[in-house]
Amino acid sequence: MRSRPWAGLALAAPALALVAIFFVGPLMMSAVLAFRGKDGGFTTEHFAKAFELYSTDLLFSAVIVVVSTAAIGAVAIAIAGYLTLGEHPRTQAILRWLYRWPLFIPFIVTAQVMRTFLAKNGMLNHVLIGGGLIDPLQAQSLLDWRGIVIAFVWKQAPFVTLLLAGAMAAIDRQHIEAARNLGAGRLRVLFGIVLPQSRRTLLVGLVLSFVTMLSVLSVPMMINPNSPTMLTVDIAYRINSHGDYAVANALCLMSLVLASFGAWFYLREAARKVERT
Amino acid sequence: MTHVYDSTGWVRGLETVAAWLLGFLWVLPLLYAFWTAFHPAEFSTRLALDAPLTLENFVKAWHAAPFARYFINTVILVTMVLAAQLVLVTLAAYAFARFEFPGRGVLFALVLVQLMIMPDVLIVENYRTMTFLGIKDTILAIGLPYMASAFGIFLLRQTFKTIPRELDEAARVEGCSPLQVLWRVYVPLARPTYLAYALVSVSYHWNNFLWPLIITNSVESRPVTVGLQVFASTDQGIDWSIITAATLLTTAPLLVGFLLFQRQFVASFMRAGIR
Repeated sequence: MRSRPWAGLALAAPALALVAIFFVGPLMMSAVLAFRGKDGGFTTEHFAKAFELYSTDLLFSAVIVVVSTAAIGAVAIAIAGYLTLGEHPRTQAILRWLYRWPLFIPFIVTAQVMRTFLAKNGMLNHVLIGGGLIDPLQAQSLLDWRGIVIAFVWKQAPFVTLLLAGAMAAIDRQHIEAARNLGAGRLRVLFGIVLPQSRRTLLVGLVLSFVTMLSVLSVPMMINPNSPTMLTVDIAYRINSHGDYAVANALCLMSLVLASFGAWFYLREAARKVERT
Repeated sequence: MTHVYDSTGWVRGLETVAAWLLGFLWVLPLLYAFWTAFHPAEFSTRLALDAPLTLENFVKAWHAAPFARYFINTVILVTMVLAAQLVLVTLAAYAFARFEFPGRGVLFALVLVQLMIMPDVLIVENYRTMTFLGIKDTILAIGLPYMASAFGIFLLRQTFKTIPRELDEAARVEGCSPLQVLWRVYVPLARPTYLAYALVSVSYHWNNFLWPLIITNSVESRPVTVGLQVFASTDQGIDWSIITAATLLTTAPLLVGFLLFQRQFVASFMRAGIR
């Protein structure tokens, strides 16, 4: 480690200056203004108002993100597990090629596609009706909480799968071969050998998805803009329609607390990894 | 390869069908978007093999919003942000990985805390800052809060720490200054990380929506994602064909890029250790 105090500081200074201006300062000001009343004194009225108006949305956001994260985990395990333990190379190759596509689709595009796909007169219902699986009268719009979850899972599962499949591919094949030679089925190998060894990567991928989903505006705004909806829609509404920065700040801080649970976990895992190396 | 533990035929068949079904389901929304965009509106919810192909939806979508300008704005935005990030993040990561200076631990912890917080939750205060700086409604204002990427600093610092010190010391014995060591030793060895980070950065800023929506209000500065919002309003009516055509227009460069570079992207992603 070089001991040149000013050289190190000078190298990091430009980035640190931007962090101070666009992160530390705004974060502190955001916290201050969320607690400052019209007379300049301390108040919790903005939080009270935010809770009064949007407590349902806070809960809705938390539930949506938790459910989506769980579903993303299940899909990622299924796909990555098949890519690692499957026995049909051509199917593996095709699945590997297909599942990645949503990686580069923006959230707003995902929202647009899902809006047309999941609507009452959308393609999904037409396929189900055409396949004789439902009657036309049973067709229903999925543009509510279910639509948000589907959009999040569709968009984020490939990201987690990509990380997880990489971690699974790095596992020593001899462990897998030994277990299977002893008669373990593939499901048992997946949950008893492969998944425990790639657990950290899965959890970190899920945490990154959790934090990302909390900050997405386009998906809830386009799929389910009416109450209950997610906090990002409320923040945009308070700013654009009311110019109400105080309540918007309070909502931002509430969103931050939710995100912090996930981010804390990510940092803990990352720090452990650095320690090991 | 034949294993003593090979699954029975029907289990294997079932798995194969399930895998195909999953892959098909995953790509179905995209296939639907392509179908609708390239066919007349009356076929938007009806699959007919004899349906005529058309590019009219793309023409209508292109004229419904100034997409050419939006694309230029987006390209300028992602290029500017990436260039600034690569310089700032490299210098900071090098300092945190290889230098000792007062407050290093605290400052790095500050960077890590930034990692926890999506910049979107600071939009109110950043909006005020941009207004104060007099750059509201500019492309610079969209990119500025993201230029010192905590994710990039963290990722590169980890990569730099894995580079053997012997290489660093050998370069110094040869007479290289710290910046020359960075340029000749660290940067080339971290190339996979740079590639993975660049792709993630471009994808993220191409996709970004909330902050550009709030900080811009003119065609001259709005990126393509905000332009796409025109089609979210009911004023445009619900014409799925035009909506999906606009949607594909927006995302086409990223999809083409992914198609061309997916092998390198996946390899870099794995080797960079984004986990």
